[in-house]
Parts: sequence; structure tokens; C-alpha cells
Amino acid sequence: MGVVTSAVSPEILFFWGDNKDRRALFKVLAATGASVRYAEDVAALDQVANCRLVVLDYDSARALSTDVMRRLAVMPLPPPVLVVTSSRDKGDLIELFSHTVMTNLVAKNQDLLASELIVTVRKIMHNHIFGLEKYLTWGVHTYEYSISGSDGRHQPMADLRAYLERLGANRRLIGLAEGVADELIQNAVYNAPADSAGKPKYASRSRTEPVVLLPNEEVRFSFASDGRFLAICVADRFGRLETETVRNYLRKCFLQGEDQIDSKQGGAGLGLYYIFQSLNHFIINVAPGVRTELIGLLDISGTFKDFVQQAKSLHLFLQRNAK
Amino acid sequence: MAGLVWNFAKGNQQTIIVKLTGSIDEDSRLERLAADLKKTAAPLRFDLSGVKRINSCGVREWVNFMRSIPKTTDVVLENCAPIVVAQINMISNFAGHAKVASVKAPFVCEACGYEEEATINVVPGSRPQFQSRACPKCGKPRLIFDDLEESYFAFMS
Ligand SMILES: [Zn+2]
Repeated sequence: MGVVTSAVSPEILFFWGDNKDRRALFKVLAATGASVRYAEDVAALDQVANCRLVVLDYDSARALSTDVMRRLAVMPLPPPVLVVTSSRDKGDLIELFSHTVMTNLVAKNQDLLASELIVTVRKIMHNHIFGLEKYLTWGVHTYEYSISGSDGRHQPMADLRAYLERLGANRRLIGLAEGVADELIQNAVYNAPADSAGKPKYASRSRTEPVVLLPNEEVRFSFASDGRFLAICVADRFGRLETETVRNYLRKCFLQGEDQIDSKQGGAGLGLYYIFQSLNHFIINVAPGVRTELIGLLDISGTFKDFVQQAKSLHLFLQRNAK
Repeated sequence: MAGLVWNFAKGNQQTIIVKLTGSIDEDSRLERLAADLKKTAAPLRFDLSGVKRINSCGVREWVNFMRSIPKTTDVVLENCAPIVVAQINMISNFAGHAKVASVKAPFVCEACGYEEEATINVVPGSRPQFQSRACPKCGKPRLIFDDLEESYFAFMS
């Protein structure tokens, strides 16, 4: 007997232009076991009772994608929205970051990365969002560190550099990886810890003032590579990062206005922008109040030119019922 | 960490050349350099070929430092390392009122991975274009510019 798709099975609604990618994408989405429905009109949103994910084609169905996101924005509990685009245009990114319902921005380069889509859909459908191993080929060795203060980043960063030099990665790509590790760790050490009332403990401190974390505030840092991608991961135990903050900071920094750099005490407000600009894929996993995990994927297999030619992905995953 | 060090040299026509080496970050103490430079009204040339890393806190330090230089002082950035060029393109006030005179352009061999940098003088209105050429290490004609001309030299437009 074949598998029967019941009426309660999770639905993926996908709005897509009339192009050859559509069938390929359908197969990839359906391969996750979800029930996938192709839609041509915003009205489809009202016809699906249990829509768990909306997939949009920002390249060849841009007007429809924008309409769908506007419609979802007024719904009380909109499903996650995955937008696929090959655009590297700053103006497009600024526009996309202004859509509060967009949770996943998937880069389409020469072709869609099926593994990225499958991992993304699986994470959303199964509410199992954490771990860098999902993004690398099975069998790789992961290097792990526990960081107990602002000075604790130097050794892992030096180890990361030595590791990438051993792999023979491009020098500028090594610089990017090191920069990402620096920003991720500083962010987790200074911005994540909060007291029992939820008030940030170290965020307003000058970054020249060292911080020593309490044992329950320690940050986990890890990295691994499968030869194609380097994955860098930083996790804290607070889960305070809000997706809105991420989108707002990225949008503000891309606009390059007078307020691009924060003049307040603490960080310069550029960290997330630097991280995004230095990666192929930036993944943010949050279990509110429990854990934040930021993962960066950098394609280290080619030259720097190969890297800059690729569109970028951003994923914001929120674990449901985290506590 | 190595931190940031600077040294001074005399250039033509009373110009002061300031060569910066290391990382521009939260520990760079650029206010000390600003204090040293306050004593002079001479034109300044910053040689940025030795800058290895810049983080987000360092960018803020640098932008504040550039703001501290009077608008009446002629300032030139030269031999900007690729990491500096990236900041000039990403951060609106990074160069302040300085003129970017020259940058280091990165090249890579697609055959053997050999990397080198060459100094390129910035000519306003004329964006460089590079052809592939022979690699000094493996001899194959596959040494290419390791970036996209339109984005690397975006600051010129
Ligand atoms: Zn070669």
C-alpha cells in the first residue's frame, strides 16, 4: 500500500513562477515527507487550514511573493516564510529584511542547494532546530570549546586559523572565518547573559572592559568542515536574540545611513552585518529563554571570487514550546 | 593578540606617513594616535598595507579617529589591504574625508592556489579590469583577480 496523505498532514504552500525550477523544487520539498501544494494566487492562503510553511519565488514571481508576505503579515500567527532568490542586490536585501514574516532567505546560485532546503524544511516541520552537524556531511570531526570570558576567544580563533591553513583554504576566506568567530563569540559573551529579571548584564560595557562569565553563562564554540563548507557555531544559554533584532540590524547596516554604526556604549551594532557579509549561509536558532545558537557556513572550497559571486542565505528558526 | 602598531616617516612636502600594522579592534587605542597627530597640521598619508584584521568595534574606533582629524588637513589612504577595501565599501564613513590613493589588489592562481597582492593606483572614473596571466609559481596562465572588479572598486563610483 502506498502512503496516504491525510488531511492533517503538514502542508507546504509554494508560490512559484512558471519555470523549470518549479518541478525540481516540488520534488525536493516533497522529499521531506511533507505534503506540498503549488499555489498561484494569494487566496490559497485562506484555503489551507494547516499551512506550516510558505515558499516563495522572489526571482520570477516577485509581485506575488510580496503580496503573499503582506497578507501573512496581518495574520495573527503566520507560518514561517521561505524566500528563494538569486539576487545579490543590496536594494533587494533591504526590501526582504523589511518583511517581518520572512524567516528563511535561501540563496539560489547555479542551482538550488537541495540539502539546504531539505534541512530547512525538516527543521521547521519537526521543531528540531539545533546543531551544526545538520549542515555538514556525516563523519566530520567537530572541534569544541567552552568559553568563560572575553579573553577566551583568542585560543579557539588561533586554532581555527591553523586548521584552515592546514586545509589550504584561501587566505582571505580564512580572514573571514576568523572575523565571524570573533564577532559571534563577542556577541555571545557581552550581549547574551541576562540577570533573573531578563536585564542584560554586560551589553552596555565597553568592549575594552573584559568580562568573566559565571559557569551558567559559559558560551559553547565549535567548528568543523567537510571540505566544502566550514561551519562555525556559537551557542549561549539565554535564548534572548529576537529575529526582529536581526532583521532590523541587517536592514539598517545595508542602508549605510548616518546611523549605520551605533554610538551607544557597548558594541558597534555592526556584528550581525559583518557576520552575514562574511558567510554563504547564516543560521540563527533560538529556543526563547533557553538557548541561542548561531551557525555560519562558509564555502572554503574555492577562491574568494567564487565566494563573492554567490548569493547568501539567512535562516531564522524559532523553536516552538521551548520551555 | 598582536594589536595595532604604528610608526611615522617623513614624506614629500612635509607630509607625514603613518604606517599601521596589525588588527584594528576594540584594543587599538587609536585615540593615542589622534593625540600624537593633533600636534601637527601637516598632510597625512596612512599606509594601510599592514592591516591584517578589522572587527566591528574596530570600525567604530577607526571612524571616530578619522572624524578627529580636522577637515582642513589633507588625508590620503594608500596601499589599502583588501580587508580595508572591504570596509571602505561596506561602511559609509570609513574613509572620512580622506582620498583613497592606492589599494592592494588580490590575485589567485586557479590552478595551484598561489596568492599575491599588487598595488593599484586609484584613478578616479577609471575602474581597473584585469586579465588572467601566468602564475609565478606553477607557470599556468591562470592567475586571476580574486574578487569582482565592480564590487571591489565600488568605492570609486
Ligand atoms: Zn599557479
